[in-house]
Amino acid sequence: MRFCPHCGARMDVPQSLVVEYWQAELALFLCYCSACQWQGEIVNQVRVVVSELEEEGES
Amino acid sequence: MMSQSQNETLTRVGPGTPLGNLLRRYWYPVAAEVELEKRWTKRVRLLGEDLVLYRDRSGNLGLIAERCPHRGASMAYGIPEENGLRCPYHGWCFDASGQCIDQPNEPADSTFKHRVRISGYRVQKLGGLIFAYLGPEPAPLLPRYDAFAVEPAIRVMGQAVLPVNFLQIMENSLDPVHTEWLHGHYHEFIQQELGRETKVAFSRHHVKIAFDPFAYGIIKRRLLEGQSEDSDDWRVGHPVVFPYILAVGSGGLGTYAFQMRIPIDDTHTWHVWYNAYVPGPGVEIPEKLQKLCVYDVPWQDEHGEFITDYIDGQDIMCWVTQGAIADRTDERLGTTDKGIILFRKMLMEQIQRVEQGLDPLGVIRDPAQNELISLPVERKKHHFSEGFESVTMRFQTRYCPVVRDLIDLFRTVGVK
Repeated sequence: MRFCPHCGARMDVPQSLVVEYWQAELALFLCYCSACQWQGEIVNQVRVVVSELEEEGES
Repeated sequence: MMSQSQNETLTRVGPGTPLGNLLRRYWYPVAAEVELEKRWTKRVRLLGEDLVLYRDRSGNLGLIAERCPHRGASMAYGIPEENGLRCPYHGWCFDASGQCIDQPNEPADSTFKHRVRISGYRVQKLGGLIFAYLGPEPAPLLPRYDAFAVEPAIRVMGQAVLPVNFLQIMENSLDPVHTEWLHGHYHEFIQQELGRETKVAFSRHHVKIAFDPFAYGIIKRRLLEGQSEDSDDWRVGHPVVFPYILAVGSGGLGTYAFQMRIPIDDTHTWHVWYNAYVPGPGVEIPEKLQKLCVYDVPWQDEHGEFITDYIDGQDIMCWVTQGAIADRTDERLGTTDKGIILFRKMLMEQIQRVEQGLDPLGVIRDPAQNELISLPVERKKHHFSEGFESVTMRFQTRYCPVVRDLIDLFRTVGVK
């Protein structure tokens, strides 16, 4: 995590915060950006699961 | 896990550092009032600054830089005057603001003293303690948290200087699950080793934990196996009072318990366990219990090993073995560490507020808000369900010189 997903400012500065923690097989990064105060979590997806769209004509 | 530079931001408390600037917006205890009854000075190190707390001959308190600016001798050996403290070396005298008011061997018409000033900080008394404020003016109000302000009360204060940064101690308070292991299973193990089979309430399993920011910090909640969500542990919880106090509830008793982690410098913390016990209606407090009782809490035995057969000693063992400043670049946090992460984020946010010229969390300026601040704490805490005496003797209070008086008093009359 080097840049803020909201404002693009550098996150590897002393007063921003990126803390990595784990939940089962997922690695999560709690982020706080000192430039724009955005905060949130970035999740390193191990597996992406999506639902198939229904095809036309299918009930 | 976090970066080294971010770890440094969150652990450096000295003047001019981002965290140091934040922490200077709060009042800290520097002594018990009784400490200055039989002596005139006390050496104080707070937030990386060496200071001397003194009482002058008018009874006023002052807190000034320890070193005399003349030749650097310690003012801790100073001579109290009517309005200030005089350096023992050449007699320069300083008032409570740090202004030099006398240089006895300079010419009578010298104006030199007007240009000599050292740090001088505000002090105030509350609850048997002397508090200091090292931040910029105007100073906020000294918060009248319930434990400091409730009356009548019996107050006791255990203390220890620990060779660690304050943050790892505070993070322990955002980590409810450690109680299940360290004060539960580990405690039972230690007792077994001593030949005492025991089962303690602390070892009950955590079903879930939660953390809610509020006006003075973060409220921490736990739900233990077999409890309903109506239990005090979940419904009320207890707060971490930002940035350096943990307030803990009780087992059906009207006690107030603060654990204060006062940063001495980057690698030392003055840990103060401050308890106030409010007797039931119509109970007169015995004379020997009327003044704040101050005592030392030992945490190492004669071989230098940690004393781990009591709850606070178990905590201290963990804090100290983490190192002087915990290395957060090499930790592996899990989901139960979310409270710790929240506290780190709160520190960063509040650093930012101070840099923007705003008051940080919990700073009080309105007297109406400060008459008596009742903190939300559980009054039927499961961990303390084994009774006043059992719990009191398993905490650091077992070292309190008046602990038997407390137990005897509350066994017969109870508390509010």
